[in-house]
Amino acid sequence: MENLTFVQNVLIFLALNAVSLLCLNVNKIGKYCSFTFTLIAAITFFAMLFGSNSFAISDLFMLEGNKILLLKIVSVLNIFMILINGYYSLEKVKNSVLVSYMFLGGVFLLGANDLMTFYVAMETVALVGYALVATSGLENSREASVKYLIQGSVISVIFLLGVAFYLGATGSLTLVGATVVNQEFYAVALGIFILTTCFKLGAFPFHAWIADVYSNVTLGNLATNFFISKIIIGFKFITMMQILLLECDPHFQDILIRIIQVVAVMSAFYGNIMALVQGQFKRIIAYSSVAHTGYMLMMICLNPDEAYETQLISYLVIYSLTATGVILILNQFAELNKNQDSREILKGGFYRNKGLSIMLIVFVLSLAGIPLTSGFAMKYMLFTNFFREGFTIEATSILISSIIGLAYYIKFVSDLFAEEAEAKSLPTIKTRFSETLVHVIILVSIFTVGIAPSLFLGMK
Amino acid sequence: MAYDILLTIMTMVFALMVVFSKKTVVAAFSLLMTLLSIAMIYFQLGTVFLAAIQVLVNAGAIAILFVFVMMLINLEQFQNNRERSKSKLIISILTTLIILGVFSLIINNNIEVLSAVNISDNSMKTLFDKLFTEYYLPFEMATVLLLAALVACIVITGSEKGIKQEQEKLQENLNE
Amino acid sequence: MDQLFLIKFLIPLFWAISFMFAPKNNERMIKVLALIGAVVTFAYSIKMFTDLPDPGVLSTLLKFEMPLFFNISYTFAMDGLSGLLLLLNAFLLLVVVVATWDIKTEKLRLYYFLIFLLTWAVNGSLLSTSLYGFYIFWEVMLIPLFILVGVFGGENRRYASFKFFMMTAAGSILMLASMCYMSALAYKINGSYDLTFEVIQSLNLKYDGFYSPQSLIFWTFTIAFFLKVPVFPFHSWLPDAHVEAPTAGSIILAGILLKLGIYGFLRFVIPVFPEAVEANRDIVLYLGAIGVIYGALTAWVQTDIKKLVAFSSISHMGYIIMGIFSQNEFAVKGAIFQMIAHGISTPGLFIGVHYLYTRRHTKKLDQYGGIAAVMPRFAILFFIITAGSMAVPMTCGFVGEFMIIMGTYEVNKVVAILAASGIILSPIYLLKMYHLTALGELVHEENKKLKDLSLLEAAPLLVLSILTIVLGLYPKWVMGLYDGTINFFITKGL
Repeated sequence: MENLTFVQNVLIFLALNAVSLLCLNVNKIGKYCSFTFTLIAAITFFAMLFGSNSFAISDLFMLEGNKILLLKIVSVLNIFMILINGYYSLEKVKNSVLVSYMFLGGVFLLGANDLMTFYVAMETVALVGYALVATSGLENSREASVKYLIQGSVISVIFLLGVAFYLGATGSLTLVGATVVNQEFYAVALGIFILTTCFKLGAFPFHAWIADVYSNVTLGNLATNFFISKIIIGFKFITMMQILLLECDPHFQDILIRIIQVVAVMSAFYGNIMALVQGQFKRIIAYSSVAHTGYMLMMICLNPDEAYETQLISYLVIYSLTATGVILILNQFAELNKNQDSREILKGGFYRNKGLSIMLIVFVLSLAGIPLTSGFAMKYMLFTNFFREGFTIEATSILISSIIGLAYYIKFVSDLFAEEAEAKSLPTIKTRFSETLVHVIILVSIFTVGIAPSLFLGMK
Repeated sequence: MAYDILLTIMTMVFALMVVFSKKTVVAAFSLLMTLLSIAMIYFQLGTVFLAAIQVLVNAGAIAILFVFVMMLINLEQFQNNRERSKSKLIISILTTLIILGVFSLIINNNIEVLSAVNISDNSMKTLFDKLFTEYYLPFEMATVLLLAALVACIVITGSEKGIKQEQEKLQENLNE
Repeated sequence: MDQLFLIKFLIPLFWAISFMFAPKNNERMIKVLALIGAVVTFAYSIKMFTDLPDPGVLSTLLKFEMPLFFNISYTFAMDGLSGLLLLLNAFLLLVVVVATWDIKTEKLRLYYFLIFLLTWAVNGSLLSTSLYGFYIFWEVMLIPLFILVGVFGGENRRYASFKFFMMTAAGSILMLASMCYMSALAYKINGSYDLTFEVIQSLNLKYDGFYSPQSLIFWTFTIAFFLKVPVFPFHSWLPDAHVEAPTAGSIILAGILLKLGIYGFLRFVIPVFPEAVEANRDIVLYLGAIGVIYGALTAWVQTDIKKLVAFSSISHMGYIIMGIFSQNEFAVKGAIFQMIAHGISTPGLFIGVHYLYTRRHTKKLDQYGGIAAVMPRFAILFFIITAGSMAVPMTCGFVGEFMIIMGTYEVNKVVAILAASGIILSPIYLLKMYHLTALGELVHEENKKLKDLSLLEAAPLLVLSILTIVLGLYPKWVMGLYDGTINFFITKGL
């Protein structure tokens, strides 16, 4: 019976979204209807997740335990996104509908036990990603989305080659319970999967799309990218690779783990160093996300474990929330400067709106890893795990690279307090209540998780 | 064996021509020929159904669409405009070496016949058996993917207002 | 265990937050609020200290039973040494509020907010027994100081604040790496990531050669604390930070933050890594001695008063680090006393500079001269404080330096002789400073019209001078407070 409920729910989700798509063009009330339908679909899906402990559709799809926890969080974020997009503008409602499809793709990606489901779901998420970048109205959006599309398509094709090798190595396409017949093919397959992971998450040699995409995407789309794409893809890829690496021959396992370590350390250093020299804030966030991916990628080298999964989820969620908070506030600062993105928008910000500046300072310090914030707690959690499993040198190098990271995060703070003659004449920034509410929620979560993470995350 | 190598070389040559040719129509035509040679490879491997699908869908529809669209757009400005840079050359050589390395793995391996893969005459029946029973989930997901692609296209091409504004701008440019 | 400890501990934090809600334009009210806050903090610090049953033993003040931060419970405890530094911190807060009473700035609330936040963070560092608690407050301390220097500082404040923050933060992240490593080891033994003194002892880190665990961890901790103290090769942030900081920043920086580096050594490095300390002792002693001489010589040639005082800080801290690492009971006692003495004299010097600056708006030595004729009160008090810094007998500075040099002599004669040259060098630059400001002829016209210290301005200087002389005559008042803790800080086997 559980299977049916889930399928029913998915069908309802799809149907409601299709209906909302159709009523988009009804003259006056189209967008409101659309908005309502999309919202109802998202809420029903969220409610359904509380219904049972595991969902399964045949062998190919299974959601249980931590994945359901992750889905609950991501559904909340999805509802959040739909609410933020609002129902005032037709473009934004279209975006919401599109995002629902990305969410559905993400759900199937999470539960995929089989490489075919995995591939199709991954393509759905990626495709909607390309579309979201393309529809952002900013200057270089089209160019950024074409670059993203081409790079993404090449990686998809290479992924298929990896699937072919996987088939050759294990004789079937399932990700769970496969027995390896041919070790060399398996190693090649895993190598290609690692390559795909690095691209999707934005690790060092394949990070080129991140800078362009992040700087040419509107806030809502960027938040979607963080909330849904990065969280789900990050979690799924890392846990999948952890499990797959177990079956590998020790000799090849060594080589692959070595490769992952090198990629992780280089991403951390590269992201932090490149962020130092950027002139635009969104690009700084982009490169800092490359660095954070580096911190996270080392988790592949650990053995799969329930506790690690919970930690990974909390790391991803908190990082996404904080980064989105930063971009939200930056956008509010940029509004009066007509959407400029350069370093100038923050000058003298503290004197224009104290509340926003304090929140920005806390968010940025959380990303930097100052204690008493959740960012520190998450980093600490990750690094203690690395040290515990014996990856001392790599973890130390990544920690050293985060020193470089401090420099550009502090620039945010010092820019906010900088006083310049012209800046004084700019008016204060007023904020809408809804935006302030969002900021306060993120702020409170940062402090509470920072001071006492075990209380709130329920872990030891 | 010889047919294998011949077909592979043909595919690669046509693929390279797509990328490196100076005239756009030649590129489109080479794309068509690439897809046809891939169809021949499929045929040679015994999966008749795939070969048929390849010709019908890829070569017959998509490549023709390419040529069709190129007729509608003025492509002269894009001809003869290829960059030749050293980095492209180096990257292509590196990629070729990597691919050759991966292939050498295959050649040096004793490929055991895997029991799950069963090539019989009714390739179509086996395919659809599996597709609708065991793998129905990815099949349905693929429909969602197509739907999402549709929606994406609608969202990208913009609203009616936007289209009208662009058309008006074009009109103004033409009138000037 | 103290029932009300949590409230007492959080008072500076709540006070800091209350500044955000104070009315913006009522300067008087904000300043009075700050004064009351400083007095309350000082009062409860005294109370907490006098409530200590036995200063020689760490008495737990509060322990959160439930592990709050990944297996680590926040524990707060105090003994003689940390109590003494706590008292110094609160005292300096009071001094800062009174000495900078006449500050004129639009951002008064921000100013006091940052100062109180800083005090709270320092208290947290001093009172945490777990290494993690210490580290958390250690890092949190950097932010208010960064903003304080960056907003209220002098011309080059951006550069100075960045340099200060980056150098100190780099050191502390290295320390974090070692802490994570030790936690991982501790987890395998205890099932908990907490790092208290006993836990680290139980890790049994081996020391054989430079690349062994104990040695590498020792060096990461040492470099982190070296950057803070600061010891010679890592001192370059100090002159910039001191010069560009506002007076409150300089006072708190010199008065208490530098001492936190020494406290870190005493609490977490020396008792815990005995073999590493013994093996590397000579290096650190030489660095201390070089710091003394370098600080003194560089201070001699300065033309900017504040920079001169900053380099004098480096010189004094050189003595202290020598005393601590020599592991001789006499020297360690002297070093801890010298911490307090330095915390009295250097803030006094900075306050003197501040008063001169508010009158003449220049810090160049050649702009002054013969002030004593016009500002007699200032001249007398400033002289007493300068004497305290110079280590003139009968002042607190002398006691400390004397004990350090005598103690170090028994351990390493060369270092002691090198450091003893500081006894000659420090009067040179300090007397030069005093001579060029207060004594001599009144050359500049502007100086003839300077107003002497008002009662409010003279008060902090008066208190500091009295303390200098009283502690110089009867140091046992302070030394008795931390006597019992000394054995803890001397490594075994010596």
